[in-house]
Amino acid sequence: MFESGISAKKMTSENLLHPESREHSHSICWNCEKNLGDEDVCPSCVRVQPFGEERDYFSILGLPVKLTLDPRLLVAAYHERSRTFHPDHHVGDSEKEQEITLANSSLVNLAFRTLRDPFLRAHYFIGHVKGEPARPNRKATLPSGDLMEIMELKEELESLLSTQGPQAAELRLRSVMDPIERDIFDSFEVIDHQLEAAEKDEAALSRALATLAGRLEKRSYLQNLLREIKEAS
Amino acid sequence: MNRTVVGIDLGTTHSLVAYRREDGRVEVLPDREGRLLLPSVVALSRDGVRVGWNARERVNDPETTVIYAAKRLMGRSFEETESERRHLTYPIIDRNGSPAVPDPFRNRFLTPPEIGALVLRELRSRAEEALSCEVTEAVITVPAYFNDAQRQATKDAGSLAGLNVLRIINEPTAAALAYGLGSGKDGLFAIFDLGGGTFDFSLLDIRKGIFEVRATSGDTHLGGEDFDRAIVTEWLGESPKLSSLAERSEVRDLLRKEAERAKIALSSRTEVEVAIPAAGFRTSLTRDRMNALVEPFVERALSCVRSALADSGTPPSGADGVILVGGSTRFLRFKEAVASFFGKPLFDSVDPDLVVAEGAAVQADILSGRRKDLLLLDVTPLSLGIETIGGVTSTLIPRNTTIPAQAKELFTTYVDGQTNVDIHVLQGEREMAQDNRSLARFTLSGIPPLPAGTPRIEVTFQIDANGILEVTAREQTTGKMSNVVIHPSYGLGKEDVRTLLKEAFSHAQEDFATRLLVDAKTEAQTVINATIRALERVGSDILPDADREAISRQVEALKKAMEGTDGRKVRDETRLLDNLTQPLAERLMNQSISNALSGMALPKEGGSHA
Repeated sequence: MFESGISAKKMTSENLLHPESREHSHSICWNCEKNLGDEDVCPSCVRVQPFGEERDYFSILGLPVKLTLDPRLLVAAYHERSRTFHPDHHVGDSEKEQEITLANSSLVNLAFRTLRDPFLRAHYFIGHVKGEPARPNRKATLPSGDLMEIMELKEELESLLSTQGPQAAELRLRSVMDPIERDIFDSFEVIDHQLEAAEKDEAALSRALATLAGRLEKRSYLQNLLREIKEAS
Repeated sequence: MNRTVVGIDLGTTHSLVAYRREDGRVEVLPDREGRLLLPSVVALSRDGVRVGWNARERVNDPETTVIYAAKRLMGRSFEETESERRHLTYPIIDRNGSPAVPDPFRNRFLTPPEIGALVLRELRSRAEEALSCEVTEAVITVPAYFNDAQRQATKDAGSLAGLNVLRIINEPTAAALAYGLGSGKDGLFAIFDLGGGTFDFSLLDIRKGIFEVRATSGDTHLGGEDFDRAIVTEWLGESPKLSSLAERSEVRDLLRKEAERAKIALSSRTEVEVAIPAAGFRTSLTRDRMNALVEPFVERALSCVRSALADSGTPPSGADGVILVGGSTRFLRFKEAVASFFGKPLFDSVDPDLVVAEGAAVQADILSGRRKDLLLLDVTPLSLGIETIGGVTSTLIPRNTTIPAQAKELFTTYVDGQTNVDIHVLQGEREMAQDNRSLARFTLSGIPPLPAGTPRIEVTFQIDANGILEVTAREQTTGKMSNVVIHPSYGLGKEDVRTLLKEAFSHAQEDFATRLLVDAKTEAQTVINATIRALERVGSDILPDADREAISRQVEALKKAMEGTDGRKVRDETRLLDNLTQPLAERLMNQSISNALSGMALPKEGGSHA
């Protein structure tokens, strides 16, 4: 463990994609070298094309970059992409194609997993819109006011847990979490609108994104408390 | 491309083969006599090796070794099978740490995959006859709780039978596939598979031909046998006499069977009378009382369900239907509990004997490449990660992640100038590395000596559609790379399989004397084992000390003969021992004890997926 041994993740997670750039890496087919346009399956030779490093999760699933997503559309898009790329539908294909389908369907699964959860989606969305690396595992940093509030809540929950049991503690925690989650959801539409506006108010948009980011951080702290209560029960 | 891929349910008691026809119909393929099931039984005798029904007929033939329930030995070490071996009446020996069954007639040993291969070979030829074409590819089902080694051993069995196993799928998933396809309904389904000793739960979303496993969970030590045990414990508390008798395992067996019978009877009645005259025990059990006894186990099953629902973010009311498979789901209290938890009707009309093979046939059809209308999206059942400083697990791919899946994360060094890192790959949900299962260890060396925390080491986990994990570590400045493909810790190596394939079933004529000796020794060992087991179980009330001594002396005499090379002598001493123990068997108090001595009885438990 001394000489070798690997230390805990101190580094931010590698960004799998370069945000903002929605252009596909491939413009010609790797197999027949014909023009691909925007297609992930070559229109001439029907070979699947690798997603480039720069593809974002929205474009991988063929969805608009928005915070509000119709879950039915999301699932439909996911299934459609899975039909195209899943290795089980490419069993007899060449090695190169199998490699591509493995990598692509892994990304399709990751994209779906991220966008399906509204909080993970919002987190990813902020990084994407701001052109910053998505860092799913970074340690959250909270303003000291919020931190104090959470510390106090934690103490309160601990005493509730020991005197009245996990259900009471969960109820109390929910009373704090629910309004935050509501605020988060409410801001989704507002931000989508701001982004779609013909004349963008950049300052207002960046304020809204910062507020959303702050609420997400706070919620993820509370989520950890919730997990602890559930584990205790 | 036109490939014929069949689906196979390689069960503990029965096996089946199914095929999905061009028109979409799924059919379980019968043998020439029209029978769908094939007993998972292999009989070894002087005149040949029999499989299936013909093998089962030989159960009481003393000249034949009848191998059954070999699935319980599959992919496990000799040590791990200790509790299983106690219930199996054929000889099982320790061969390089793995269990093996001696075939005295051909002077060889059969490993569990080889036994499985004999059954698979039979199914394969059945399929070839029914479909009138060569069959070389298959999908085989295994219980969801099977670990990598058990899955690999099942695959090996396929290879030995000349089958390329395209995929191993879980039995509850297969059942759900068949059910979902058969019902023609879309929706979110909860699937319960409660066997004798294990419980599996899956949540499956079916939409327009896509079968998405949303979450799985389970308990490898929870099943119908726990219900029976709870009832037995209750009876033991009622009668001190019974409880002293129950120190003997055959009395326990008897009680367990009575408990099972009472449990089944209470599905249609509210009260049953139970009497064990031999023990002077008489009691009655009400349905309410029994329900109270089994409640902790029902609650444990439901807590697995809650965790799977939570993982997938689904409330119980979100399920559109509940599917029950596995023998123990017939238990009334369990059904009631499940129905009230989901508030949904239960589907238990599917034929549990056929449904698993049918589901395997559906996946086989998908993998044949003929059809792109269906797709199964499966998940990885346990979290995967690596060990970090302090022995802490860092998860890269959480459980219930849809596969294929890839995850990348950056790590760094801990000590200044560190040039190697150890990557320890783990599987499990526990915080500390030592509590999780170790899958592999490898080292990435050649890292440039830098201050601690400076190097960037990217670790990538890639799971393919078969669930095989590949881990790669790459130092980013130098591009130095190291990787490992996770192989199971047991099972056969590729080379072993090839060698076995060459050797398989083509043994040269062996010298007669050697064969006689091996034959006699094997039989002798069986009789010795049965005798020792019986001696341990009976007290002086049944077996007078003088008789016990005579038997022990003969055991020693036989052991001595076994050290020599005279096959005939071994056989004669065996017969003497057999004669000596005969009166003992007659004196034994109840039928269950004599069963233990005479050996060759098939277990009566039902269900092919136990």
